[in-house]
Amino acid sequence: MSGQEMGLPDPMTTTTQNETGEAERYLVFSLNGEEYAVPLLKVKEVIALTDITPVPYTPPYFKGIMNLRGQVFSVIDLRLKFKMSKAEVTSETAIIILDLSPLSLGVVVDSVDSVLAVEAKDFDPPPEIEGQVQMDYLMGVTKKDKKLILLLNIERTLGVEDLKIIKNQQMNNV
Amino acid sequence: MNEDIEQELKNGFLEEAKELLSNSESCFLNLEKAKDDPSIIEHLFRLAHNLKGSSAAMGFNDLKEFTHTLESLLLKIKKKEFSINNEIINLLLRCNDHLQLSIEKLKDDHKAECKNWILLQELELTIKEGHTSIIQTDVVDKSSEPPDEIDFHQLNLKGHIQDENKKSMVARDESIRVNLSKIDQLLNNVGELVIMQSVLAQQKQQIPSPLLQKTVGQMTKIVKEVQEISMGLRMVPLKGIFQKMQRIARDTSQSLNKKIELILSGEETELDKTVIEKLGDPLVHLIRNAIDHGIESPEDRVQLGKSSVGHIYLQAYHKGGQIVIKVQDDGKGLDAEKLKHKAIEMNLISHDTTIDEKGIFQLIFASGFSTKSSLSDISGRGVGMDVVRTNINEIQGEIDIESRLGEGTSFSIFIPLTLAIIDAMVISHNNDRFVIPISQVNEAIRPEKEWIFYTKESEEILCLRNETLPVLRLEKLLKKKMGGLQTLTPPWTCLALIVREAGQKPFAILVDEILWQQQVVIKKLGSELQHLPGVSGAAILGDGKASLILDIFELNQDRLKELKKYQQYHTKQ
Repeated sequence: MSGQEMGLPDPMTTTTQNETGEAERYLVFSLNGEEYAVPLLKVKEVIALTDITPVPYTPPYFKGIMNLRGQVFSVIDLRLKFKMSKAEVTSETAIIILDLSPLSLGVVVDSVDSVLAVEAKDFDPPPEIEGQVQMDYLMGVTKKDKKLILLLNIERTLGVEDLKIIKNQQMNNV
Repeated sequence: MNEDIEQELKNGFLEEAKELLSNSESCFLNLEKAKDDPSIIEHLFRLAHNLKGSSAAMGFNDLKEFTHTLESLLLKIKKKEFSINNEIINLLLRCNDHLQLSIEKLKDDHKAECKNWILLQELELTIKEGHTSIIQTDVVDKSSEPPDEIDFHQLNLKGHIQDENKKSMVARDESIRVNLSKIDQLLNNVGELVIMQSVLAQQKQQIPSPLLQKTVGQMTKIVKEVQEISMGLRMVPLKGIFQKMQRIARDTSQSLNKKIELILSGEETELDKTVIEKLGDPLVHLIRNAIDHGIESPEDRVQLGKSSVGHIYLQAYHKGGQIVIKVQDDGKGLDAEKLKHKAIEMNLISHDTTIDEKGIFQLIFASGFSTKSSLSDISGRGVGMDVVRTNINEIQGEIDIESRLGEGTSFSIFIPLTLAIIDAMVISHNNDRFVIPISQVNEAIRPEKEWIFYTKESEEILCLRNETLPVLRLEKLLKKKMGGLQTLTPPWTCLALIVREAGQKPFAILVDEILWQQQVVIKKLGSELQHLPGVSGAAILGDGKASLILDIFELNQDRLKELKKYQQYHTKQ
């Protein structure tokens, strides 16, 4: 698409400063074969899949609550949220605990891959045609080894407003 | 009230007073440096006011008299009728010393006399004349020594006694102040420790080593004790403070010639220690106000058709993730019109501000607000409610006022649950585990086949000792997917939890099994789950898994509302 695609330096190695500013670091994970990334600063922790207690009156993508060292976190299945098919749990399946003040949440992903430093010049706007993820969920895209990594707007993705499971919703469903 | 409680209360008061007075001493010293800072005066004035009230309640009359006079002086200072100079500060510091001395004396003997005529006279003269007047004597305790042998002996004695007392005050500190965050860390770690050790205890069976078994067994006991102690560190039942209120209610009602009955409920409810401490003063003020302003005189009450005895209900309960403490009276209620006029008079609101009833009620908390025209010992200075709101804000709580003219008023204090322990039962249903507070369950029985009936709508009914209770299935309450009605287990193979709540029809819930009973720490759910109906929080069970704490009442309410809607919809057809 643009001339920048030629001779892209490998953003994986160092956080090189350039004239347009510092690089932002992202955590890259996989969902259904595609790679996504969220800003590293928002990541509190990454843990292996653990016991999750289901919660009634919640949408299907809401997996439930879990205990992490005495604190209770809500966990969301990102696949279901993106309306992908449900996947088999493998040894790679992980939970990323995100800090989205004032909320903290965990999201289940297929695997957590790497940490990526993306410089401003490697940051492209979201493409017109998208895969299975809707447009406003993406902040942008970047490329690594010819593979497209979708940089998620995690607050928008999780619909931080929708997450307030409102009583009215249930009442209106009579 | 029996002896022991009285002793305990008095000692408690003396402990608190000691702390207050060391705090006030530094305030007085600060005042000297920052003469114009109104907040210090406010603070000191409030301290004196509280000390006066509590010492009166405890029956320490000397103390009460003294602080009353001191308070008047502080009020004058607050109103700027006095300029703060060296002499005033000296006088105030001497007052503080006297108070500290008195407290020490009272600690040894609750009936000790603590009069200091000289100081009292000085105070009164100062107030009257508008400047300090120091009465020159060196006599320490007028009551004891015969006049001849005063001079030299006395002078030395004064200095000596002061030192001695200061020394003993330092030595007798039996408690220490601990940073709450340290306790929090401790509690978190202890929680983890308990989980780890239960895992260890389970695993020990695998390894055939008697020494290991024995050691793990002992460790279990010790960890249990550590857990109990550390949990106990912060949580205190409301019982202590509620009983204190009994005394306050009694004394206040006597001095005002009103007949009052104070009815307590929920005193086993436990709260964080700091929260309880902050609740003390507000509750005292609320109860006194209820007796003073709320409850009418016995004659008036009879005339109005009420019982001659006024009722004040002091309740504590859990509700939707918060603790509610309610002070309710059946007195004359708040007159919104009168309040509005007073507020306009005080320039709190203007003539044409539109304000609803609730807003008017909240005006009571404004500093200095009082509809009473004369001062009384109890209230009227317009300080009480201000303290109430400040204290409640400090514990991140809210206070709500409801009132009906002629019928009564209720003040509800809502306190967020940061850390609260409840007795609960862990139940299993459809292989899910839930936690139900024991307070919500009246009985648990395994019904016999003959006790279950079906109505024509195929609803299940339980006939228990001549009472018919509708039977609800937990799946229905939680709106969980059921595998069709046919696969419902017969009700007599389940356990029925009988739920009774005041003012509502009792019902029974069917659950598969009660697993065990334990104390759980309520963990707040994130804001994304705040509006879940029927769930008041989460708990972490012994095996480390998170579990939901159900609020059965709320679940039922929800169901009833929906039922109503459904019926309304159908009758329209």
